[in-house]
Amino acid sequence: MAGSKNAEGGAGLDPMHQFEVHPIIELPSVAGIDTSFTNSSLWMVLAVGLVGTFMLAASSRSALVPGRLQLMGEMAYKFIADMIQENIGTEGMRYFPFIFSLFMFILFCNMLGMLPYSFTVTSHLIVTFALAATVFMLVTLVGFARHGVGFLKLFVPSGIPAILMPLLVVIELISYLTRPVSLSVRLFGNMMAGHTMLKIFGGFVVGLSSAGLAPLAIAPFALMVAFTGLELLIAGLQAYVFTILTCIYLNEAIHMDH
Amino acid sequence: MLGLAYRFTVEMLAGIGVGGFVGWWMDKWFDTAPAFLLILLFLGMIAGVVNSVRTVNEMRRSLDKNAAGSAREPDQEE
Repeated sequence: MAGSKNAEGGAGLDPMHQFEVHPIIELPSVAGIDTSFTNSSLWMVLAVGLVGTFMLAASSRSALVPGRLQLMGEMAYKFIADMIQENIGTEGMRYFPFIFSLFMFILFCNMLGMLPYSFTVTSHLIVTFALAATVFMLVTLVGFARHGVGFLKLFVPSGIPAILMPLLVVIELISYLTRPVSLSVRLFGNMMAGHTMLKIFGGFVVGLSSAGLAPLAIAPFALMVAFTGLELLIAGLQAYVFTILTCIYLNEAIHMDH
Repeated sequence: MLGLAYRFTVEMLAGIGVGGFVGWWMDKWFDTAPAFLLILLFLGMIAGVVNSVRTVNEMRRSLDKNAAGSAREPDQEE
C-alpha cells in the first residue's frame, strides 16, 4: 500500500514494488517460520471477511422476489452449481462448498487487487500454489477413496504396445504432477503481469507530465484506462478458469473416463 | 487471443519444470547425477507437449459443442 505511494512519487519508479510483502504486526516466529501478520494476510482476511459478509447479507432475508443483494448471491450460487452439474454431474454437488469457497476467495482476492493502493494476494506464486496444491491433494484423495488402487489406472493409457508402456506411464505421471504447477502459475502469471503493466503505464504518465510533456501523457493514460478494464475481465476470468479446471480434475477422479 | 498462447507456454514450461525437479531430486536420492535429470527433463518436455495437445483437443471439443450444426470429424481420444 505504501509501496504504490512511493512508486508514484516519481523518482524511484519501480513497478515491482507493489508486490512487496511487509509485516504489519510483528509476531514471534514459531519453529523457524515467520508468523507475522503481513499486508498479504490483511488482504486475505479482508477477502474472506467480504465473502462472508456478502453471502450472509445475501441470504439473511430470503424473499420470494429477491432483492439486489439476494439476486447477486443466488447468481453466484447458481453459477458454480451449474458448473459442477455440467462438468461433474450430481455427485459433484458433494464438493460444492469447497469449489464455491475456492471460487469466491480467488474472485474477491483478484477484485480487491484492482483497488488502487491495495495488495493483490493472488500475484504471489506461493499463495496460488497453496490453493492449487490443496486442489491437487483433494483430487488425489478423492480418486483413491473412490477407486482404491484402481485409481492408478489413470496413468495407464489403453491400447498401447507393452514395450512403450513404462515410458508412457512415466509421461502420464509427470503430466499429472504438472497440474498444480500449471494451475498456480497461470493465475499468478496473469495477475502479476497485468498489475506490473498497469504500474508501468502509470509510471509513463507520471514521467511524461513531470518532464513537461503533459499532452503526450494522454496516450499512456488512455491505454491505462483500457487495461484497467481488461484487468477486471482477467480477474474474473482467471477465477473462473481456476474453478472449472478444479471441476474437470475432480470429474476425472470421480468418473475416470478419459 | 493472448490468453491461449499464454496457456500453452505455461503448460510446456510446467512439464519441463516438473520433469527437471523430479529428475534432480531422484539424482540426489540415488546419487546418479546427471542421469535422471537428463532423462526426466526430456520426458517432462514430452509431457508438456502431451498436455498442450490435450488442451487443444478440449478446446476444439467445446468449440464444436458451441458451434451447433458444424460437422467435424471426431478427435482421436487421448
